[in-house]
Amino acid sequence: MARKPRAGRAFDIRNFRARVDQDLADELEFHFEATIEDLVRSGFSPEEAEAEALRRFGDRDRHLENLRVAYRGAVRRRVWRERTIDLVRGIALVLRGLRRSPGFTIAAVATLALGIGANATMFGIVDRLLLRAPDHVDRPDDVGRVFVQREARPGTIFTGATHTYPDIRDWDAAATLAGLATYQNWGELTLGRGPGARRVAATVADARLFPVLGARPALGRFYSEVEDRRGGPPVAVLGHELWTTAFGADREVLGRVIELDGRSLTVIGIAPPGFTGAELRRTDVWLPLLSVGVEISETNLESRGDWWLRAIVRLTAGATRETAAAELTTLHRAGRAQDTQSYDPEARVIIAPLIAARGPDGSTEASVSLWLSGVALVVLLIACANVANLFLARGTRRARENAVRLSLGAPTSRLLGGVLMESAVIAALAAVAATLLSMFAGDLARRVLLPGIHWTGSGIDGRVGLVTVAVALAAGMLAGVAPAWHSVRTEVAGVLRGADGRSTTRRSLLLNTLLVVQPALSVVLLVGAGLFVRSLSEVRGIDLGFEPESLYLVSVESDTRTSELLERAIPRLEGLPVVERAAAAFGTPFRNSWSERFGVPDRDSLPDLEGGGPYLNAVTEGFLPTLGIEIVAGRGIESGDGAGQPRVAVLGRYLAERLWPGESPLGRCVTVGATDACTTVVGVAEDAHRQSLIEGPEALYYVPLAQHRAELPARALFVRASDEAVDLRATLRSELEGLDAGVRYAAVVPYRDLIDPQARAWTLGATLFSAFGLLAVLVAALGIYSVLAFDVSRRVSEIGIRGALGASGARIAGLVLRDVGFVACVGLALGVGAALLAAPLVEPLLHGVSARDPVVLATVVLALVTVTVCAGLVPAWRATRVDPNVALRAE
Amino acid sequence: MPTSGLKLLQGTLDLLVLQALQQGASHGYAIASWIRATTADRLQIEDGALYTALHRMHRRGWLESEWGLSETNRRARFYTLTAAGRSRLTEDARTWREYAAAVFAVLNSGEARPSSGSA
Repeated sequence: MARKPRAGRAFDIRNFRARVDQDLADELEFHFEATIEDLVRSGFSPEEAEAEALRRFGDRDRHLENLRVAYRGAVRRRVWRERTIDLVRGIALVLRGLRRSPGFTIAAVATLALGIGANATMFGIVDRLLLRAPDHVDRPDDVGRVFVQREARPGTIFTGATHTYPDIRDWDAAATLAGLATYQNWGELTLGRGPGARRVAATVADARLFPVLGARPALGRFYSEVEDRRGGPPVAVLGHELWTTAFGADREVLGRVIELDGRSLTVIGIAPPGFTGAELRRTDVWLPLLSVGVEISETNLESRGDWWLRAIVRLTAGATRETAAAELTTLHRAGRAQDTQSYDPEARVIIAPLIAARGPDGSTEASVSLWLSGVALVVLLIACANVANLFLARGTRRARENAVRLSLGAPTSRLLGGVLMESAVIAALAAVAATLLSMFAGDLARRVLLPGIHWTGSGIDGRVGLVTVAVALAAGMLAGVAPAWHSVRTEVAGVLRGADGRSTTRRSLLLNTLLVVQPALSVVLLVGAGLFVRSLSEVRGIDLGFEPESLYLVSVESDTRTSELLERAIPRLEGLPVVERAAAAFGTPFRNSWSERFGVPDRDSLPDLEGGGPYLNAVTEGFLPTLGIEIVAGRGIESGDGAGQPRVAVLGRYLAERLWPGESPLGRCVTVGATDACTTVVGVAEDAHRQSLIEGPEALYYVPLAQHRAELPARALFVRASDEAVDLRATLRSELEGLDAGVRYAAVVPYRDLIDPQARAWTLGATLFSAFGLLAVLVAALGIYSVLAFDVSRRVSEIGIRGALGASGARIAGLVLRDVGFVACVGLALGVGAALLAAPLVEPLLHGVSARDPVVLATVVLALVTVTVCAGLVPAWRATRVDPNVALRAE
Repeated sequence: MPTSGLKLLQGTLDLLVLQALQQGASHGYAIASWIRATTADRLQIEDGALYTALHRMHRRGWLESEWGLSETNRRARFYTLTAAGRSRLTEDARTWREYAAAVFAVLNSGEARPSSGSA
């Protein structure tokens, strides 16, 4: 039966420990005395009795040792039990208290939960991007990515992540490497054909990728050098996700032949779940580099001018990144010894960590994520400050109770423990809520904001869970420490004399500090949000030179000649009422561009062109109008520019101005490609972006597809919808797949989808900074409101007296607001100062807006002043309603 | 006062102690005396082992202890059975009885050996 814990007296461990051995000694002493007494009574002499008692006891040393062990165990057990009972009682007490003030509880738990949830979510993202190596990599610290740093053009140092095949083979000889593997993202390929076909993400990799990473297949095997060679048997390894979704996780898929881009491949293995190789992108199909990459020509493998492969290495036990990089540098320079003319002889190999975000080509997403983690931390700090405020306000209300307890001799540690226990319980409740929050909202956030990453599982794994608990604990302590300290510092006599604590009119310094910190942090966050929102709108407002809205890109895979098929499709598509215009072209802006030998007769060299080039595109006559690229002089490409007709070209404005500054280029001659024949410039088109949202003017020109079909065939269709509101994806796909029996798959992509990923860093920053900023403001407003409301209730008697002495309502409201106004102003000023100080740090992440943008700063300050005043109005209004009679009677 | 007695089978001591406490609270010496008297001193039990058993069972939560006054008005530690100890006793006693009955059944099956094969 469970004993009732002795009321009011906590279990005293230290005292108990000291008693342990004494207890045992007492027990045995009684035993010996009783034994000897009985023996003497039955006729033993005292000496004999003592000897007999000892004999009966047995091996004294052994038994005493066993006894001590057993006894200590019992003590430990008891200590734990008492502690547990204490804890359970404490928690029960706290929960009872919290149930009595549901408003306080909900506010505190919700505030902390939002703060903790934001941190858990951000940690999940940062963990994936920056802390954790890709899944299934064995001893990831020994694996590195290879970069080559060289002077690409005079004065321009370029750090390349891709390498030529011969350059990679030079490194095979390295003694510091236990393994060297190469791979490349192979874009999307079509699995199957017709309506059931699906696009899958492919990676070509050599057979060494799997052993270098140390990954094991979930089923079957990875390919080896037997398959990964020229003319080797065509095989594929499927990603776990594709295997599950497309093949129902059927184990019989091994040995089955699948159709990929019209080629037949035998499935030999399934990669483990979540395996993404050395990257974080999802891969559905792994293909042997040398046998299946049929688009890979001998030139690709022999040329030292084709940088297209990424390389990873595993170091030998004794090697470091530096020693291995030094050896690879030597090998690299030796391999490039012949072409010192065109190649930087000082080229240097860098071995970067496997975690891509830590390497030289770390993404903007990673640094924005890191920033946002900082932001999440700030939100948490605000939340803690606010909860501390709530605790303080509550603590002041209980000041009298505490003072009485202290004066009756309750130890301070007891009061301290009570307050800390309360914050710990709140933190625990908040951690549970935060976990639920980041499971749903967080999962959504990371999939939407960072879709390029292959997220596996839910938002909560062991690491995130651990961090959540740690953050919750820290937050609970942080929010609880100040109030706890405050509660024990309560001046007993003063509070008791003050009868109910209502007469104290001054807020503590601590409370004021917290009130200042909240608006300050809110300012910092909102300024961040404002800057990112402005950057995003700047980025979205960039004139690309063409109009991407309601424009679709269509590419087709077919067994028949794709280029002919595409050209045939144009009139058919233009016959549809939903289509305004359609065109075909060789190159696709934002996806690929092409450069050919280009010259001007009688000139030895071209002027320097920013961004290289010039880049050409072979287009049908509808291309420029379909994309919305304006003709600024002359004419565009026309249907009359046929195969037998004079060769013509339309130059981009930048190229035209560089070639003939201040003169008209119309009618001039240029040479394109291998032939020296004259190509006449017939028009100038507005500059259009070639591949990036943010790029300088690019040198572009357009030639008629009809005159260049042989070397520059049509590879894509461009379709402009006549109505922006109509989604043409399904229509276009079925239209093209119905065009010819040879069509395996038609991919239709809204043009925005090609461009938007480049704006992702700003989208991410703008979305999350805004979300966190609004959260912070909400929390700060709540804090100001609750403190003021409490102030008013505490100062009721003072306000009553003022009212009785004839102060007007406005005066009284002013009294309440003036105070908070001052505190808020200090906070805002501090926040603006901090934002200005942090400006240089955030500057590189922005676009088209200064980190000290006055508009953003002014807007934020104005918004916060408004919020503060609004938060203060209700309590101020309530103060004016204080009835002097009622207020003074309470005193 | 025999100089030697029967050695205890493994785990028997716990059972004896639990049984001794079934009557109510008792201190170590009283338990030792009771067992000695009840078994007519035929079992060889060292008092040290008895106390070790008491403390071990106390740690396991089968016994509770409390300081009180002995018959001779001296401070002594009294042990009582907990609910867990009581059910342990019931269980162990039943096991022992079944075990002993089985062994007796074999021993009492006559001097003749059991005939093999017949039912």
